[in-house]
Amino acid sequence: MTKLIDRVFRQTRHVLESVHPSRDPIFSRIGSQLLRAQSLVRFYYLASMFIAYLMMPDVHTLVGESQTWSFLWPVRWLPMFGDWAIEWVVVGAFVAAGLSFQFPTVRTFRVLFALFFLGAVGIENSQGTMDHSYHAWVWLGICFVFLPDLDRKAPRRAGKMAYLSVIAGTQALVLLFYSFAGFWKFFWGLGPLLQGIEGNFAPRGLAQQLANRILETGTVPLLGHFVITNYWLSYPMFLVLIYMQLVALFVALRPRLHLIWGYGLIVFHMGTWLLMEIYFPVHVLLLGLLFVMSPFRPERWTIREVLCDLPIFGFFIRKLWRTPDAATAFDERAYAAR
Amino acid sequence: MTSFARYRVFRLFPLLVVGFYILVAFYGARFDSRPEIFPFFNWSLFSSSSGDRNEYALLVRSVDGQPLAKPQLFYDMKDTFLHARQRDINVSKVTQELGSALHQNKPQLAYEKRRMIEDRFMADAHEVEYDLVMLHFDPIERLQTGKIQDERVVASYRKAYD
Repeated sequence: MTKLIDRVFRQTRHVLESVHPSRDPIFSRIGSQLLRAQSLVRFYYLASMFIAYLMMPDVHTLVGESQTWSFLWPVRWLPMFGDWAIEWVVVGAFVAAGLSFQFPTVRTFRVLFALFFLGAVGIENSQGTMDHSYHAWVWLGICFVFLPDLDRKAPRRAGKMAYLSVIAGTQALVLLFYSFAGFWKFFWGLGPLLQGIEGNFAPRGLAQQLANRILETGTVPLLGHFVITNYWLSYPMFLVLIYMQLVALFVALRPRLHLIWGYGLIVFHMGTWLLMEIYFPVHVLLLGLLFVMSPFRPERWTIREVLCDLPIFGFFIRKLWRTPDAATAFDERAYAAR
Repeated sequence: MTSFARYRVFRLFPLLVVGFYILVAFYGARFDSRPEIFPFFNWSLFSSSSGDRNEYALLVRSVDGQPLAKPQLFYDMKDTFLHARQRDINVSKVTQELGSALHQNKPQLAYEKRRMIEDRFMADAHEVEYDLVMLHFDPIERLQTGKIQDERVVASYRKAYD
């Protein structure tokens, strides 16, 4: 069984990783990576305090106005205690976030935060409709519950790698969300493409989507009408977006791409506001936190290495650009000697 | 457990969390009446575009006993409904879900959606007569010229508090 698990693990890494993992493996400088990862976790809980605080007036308004509660499973028990309990769940999330920020090594506080925040987001979505703005943030909290305890004085290498494995898993999960989004765009675009009718891969694909959104709700996005009229501008951007989202999961174990995918997806969220008035502020924060500030991002990299790491296109770029760049190549001997 | 043995377990975390999420997001909803199990989601948002679109919409015919000169789409009635003024996307989501529930012959779900529309989104008026209509249109053409190729009444409702 252990051998089978080892084999599955190695094969998965082989598929997802860069073709030259030894030149910059995801766990290459675990000392500095661990420090960055611990800072990331603390910042997450600080930002969670801020988010829980922002949610308080929303939930207060909901409690005051709503007659149509349809409680989701994490908060189905709340009506037993009356309306006052609803608002205290959000306060609980705020307090638990503060405690987790101050004492990030205490798992009990992290568990409490995950439960309270799950409840708080559950309350916001208990009106019969689902808003997905906070889903990813909830999952970060759930993943961080699994962070292992480290020996404070001298954490062992294996302990550090266990900690970083949880961070890598959290990154992979967030990238999976984007891969899902890309998969559906690709899937629903493929049929019309094969049938020769207008769909996601047609030049007016995005423009049709934007027009439908404007008609649906009567919004007036800043650049919506301009892009619909000048759809040749949006066409390549939409194709790049589908690619970036579809292959996002492969980026999890290619740390040289973390920065680019982080900023790329932040730009995508900026685009959804400018073109559709769809607002995902928490995602901007978590992309910045997990990928722009990725603990695994290398200190040195070249454009060529980044291009070679690109999923799908990297294969062809490597064919064109065979000679390794000695100046920036990862020193395997030095790495092995550590 | 030794530190290394613990790492051997923890290194599987990325695989397990991703695998578990995929499983529940895709298959979990089959065991529940709701389309998704919170906080799992398959992230299919604005996935398909087409020049040949079918959408459900709410067409209001009268408000508080006063028939409108011409039936109006809910989102066009900004002076009457707060959620129209706010351009609340949830109105459109619930409307699509109501149409879908009727199409799939799920009367209980359709009733829940209708209650939500009337109690929450139409809370500004005591009495509203409205139709659930299916619109067939080309989005760009409709945006530029207002043309709707086809409009079919799926159901007619009346919200009234006695």
